[in-house]
Amino acid sequence: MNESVEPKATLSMPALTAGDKFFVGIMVLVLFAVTGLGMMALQEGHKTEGGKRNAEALAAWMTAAGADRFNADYAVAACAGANKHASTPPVLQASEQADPQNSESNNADSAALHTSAPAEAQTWGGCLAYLQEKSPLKDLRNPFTGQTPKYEAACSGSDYHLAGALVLEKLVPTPPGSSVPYIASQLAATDRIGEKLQLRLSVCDKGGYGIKVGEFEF
Amino acid sequence: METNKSIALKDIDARVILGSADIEADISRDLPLRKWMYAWMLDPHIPGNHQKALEKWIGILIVVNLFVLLFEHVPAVFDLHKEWFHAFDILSVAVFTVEYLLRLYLAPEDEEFKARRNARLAYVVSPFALIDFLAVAPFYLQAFIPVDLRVLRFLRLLRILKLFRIVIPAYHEFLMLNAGRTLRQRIHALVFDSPYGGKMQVIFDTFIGICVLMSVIAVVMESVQSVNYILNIQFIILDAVVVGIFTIEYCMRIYSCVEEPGFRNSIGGRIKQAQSPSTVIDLLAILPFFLEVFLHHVLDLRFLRVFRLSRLLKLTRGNDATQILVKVLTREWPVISAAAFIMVLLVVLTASLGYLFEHEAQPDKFENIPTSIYWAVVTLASVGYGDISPVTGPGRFMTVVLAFIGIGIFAIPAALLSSAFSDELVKERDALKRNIYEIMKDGHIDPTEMATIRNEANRLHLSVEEVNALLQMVHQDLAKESEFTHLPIHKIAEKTEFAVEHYKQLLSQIRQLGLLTDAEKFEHRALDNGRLSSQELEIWKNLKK
Repeated sequence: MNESVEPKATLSMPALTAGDKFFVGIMVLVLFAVTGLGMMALQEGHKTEGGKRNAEALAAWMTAAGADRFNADYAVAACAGANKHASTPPVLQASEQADPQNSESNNADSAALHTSAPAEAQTWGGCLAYLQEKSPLKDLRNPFTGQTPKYEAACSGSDYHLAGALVLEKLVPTPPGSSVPYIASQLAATDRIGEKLQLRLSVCDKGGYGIKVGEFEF
Repeated sequence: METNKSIALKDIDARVILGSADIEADISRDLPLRKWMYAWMLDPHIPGNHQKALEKWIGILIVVNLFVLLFEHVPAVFDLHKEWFHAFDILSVAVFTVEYLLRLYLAPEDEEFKARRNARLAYVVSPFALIDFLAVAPFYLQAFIPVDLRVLRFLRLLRILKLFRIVIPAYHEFLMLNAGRTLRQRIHALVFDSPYGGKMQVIFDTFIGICVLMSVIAVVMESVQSVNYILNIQFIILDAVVVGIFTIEYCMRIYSCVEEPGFRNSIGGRIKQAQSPSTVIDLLAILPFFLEVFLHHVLDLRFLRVFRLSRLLKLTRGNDATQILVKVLTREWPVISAAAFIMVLLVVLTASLGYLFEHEAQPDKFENIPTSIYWAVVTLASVGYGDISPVTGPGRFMTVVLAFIGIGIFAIPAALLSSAFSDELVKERDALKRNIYEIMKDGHIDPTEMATIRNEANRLHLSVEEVNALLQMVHQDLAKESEFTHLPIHKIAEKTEFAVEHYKQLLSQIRQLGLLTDAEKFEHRALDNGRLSSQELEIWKNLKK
């Protein structure tokens, strides 16, 4: 570094050698390659974001349902809570008048109502069937597969096939003094949903790892 | 602050050499206000004025503006802290406006514009002034005309152009230094330390350093779920951009390494460069990105993402502490490996005994010897988690003995490394002392010699006081030496202290002679015609040993 350098008279650079041209070519290729790969990574990132949006939509629906489903006039019998009177007819007309924009979904809900079991006997499987077949969320698509999002027991880093899958877990509080505040377990299809449930929703990312989207009461 | 003058030995001050002296700018108080302000604020030729500090802080503000602009595009961040973003924008515009007006006012004093008929007009239409104007204009524009927020944000990006004030002069200097040199030589000057790099090389290194830090911060923040949830896409874009930059840097290093001494062969040199630790680190920095794109179905993505933290190692390229550590480890490796061998031996023996004594009582905890090895290491290292502990009498007795031995055994490598480190530093300081001795022999220190001392002192992390002590020591030695050389031998002999020093000096001269002369010819000549007695020749041989 101590060597002193005398500025040259001319600032021009000698003509490029074959090696220089080869290097410039390689650099251009590298730039294109990295840009292309960056775009691919970005697309994959957008897929993960799409998965998160799916989960957010589900969380929003379930949170809203959690607030209403114990009301007597709750329209979706398949997801209704146990306090609902089984004999009470659905007040479909009233809800359509109150929210005409949702009339299409309410029509779909009515089908679920007429075929539903008593509210005490509702299971998550029935509610899920309604969600996937008749609810406004039926059009959700897993961005990684293009198919309806699957509901899995858990995300796993060793299984990339889980990418975009949704994981719903019920959180059961532990007795006071326990080292963990609650125990999380999969919300199985046979689980009854008559009572209020504390749920946690996650979505699996590209590598199969879970991204927690939210916790809510259903 | 660097000075261009030579310093006489009597005026030596480490603060001046290390550039940490508070040099007072030589600016007369009697100057007219405009001249006085220019001299203090903008004149690049006056050491000790505020020009460099002003440039540095403006540069930092521009870089911070760039980051703020990036975060403005993230609604989750921007919506929460709108007021802070607005306040920062006002502050930045205020600073940039003051800077613009200051330069406009002082333009008649600037060498570039003072010769023009209307210096201020010449300044206003100059490229840098136009850039400065564009940096603040959008802010004032929105006060009068309703401007779309996206357009406004785009216009704010123009502030980055202000960095040209730093980059363009550095680029010109780079062109001057590399005039007539080939593309490969220029690339070499940019990416490797060389006399041709100038400020451009410093800017390049700083830029790479900022990229490394940004990337590492991004990897760390990605692990914070709430942050990653919001900024996932931004992290992906940042990663791709940073990998692009690192990949180009990697190619540049491989291509231009043949300009480095020892790497001249076009293929062998490049292979050698690719195998060097720093280049392997460069490769590790970009590898996870490519593996994630191509092999995300096979490899664990979380591991690959955390593996990107290896980019932090790129910063070791310019850090001498790592080099000292490697040197120490290499030098002390035989001793460290011997200590490690004893440690391994002890761990295996202890684990085996632990298994022997405890397996019956606790088959679940001391299930086999590998499980017992975990217990042995935790006990020997004095960590003692307590998840596995002996319950039998012999097991507990052995644990007591083991704990005592562990303190000594595990301390050996640490002590070895510690003493080797301090030895190495002492050696380096001795080398610096010898260097200073050579430098000061001619009675003064020129700017190049000052730069050598400064670089070495910075490398060894010496404080001003330490350098001063070294300088004084060498100065005193030289004074003594010159004192002896001027005294007649009987005067030297009168003082025992002088006599000893003189004897040491003579011995040193004989040793130097032994190193420089041809030993065989010397002895042949000495024995020829009995020029030296056998006793004299014996002394010569002993001194040479």
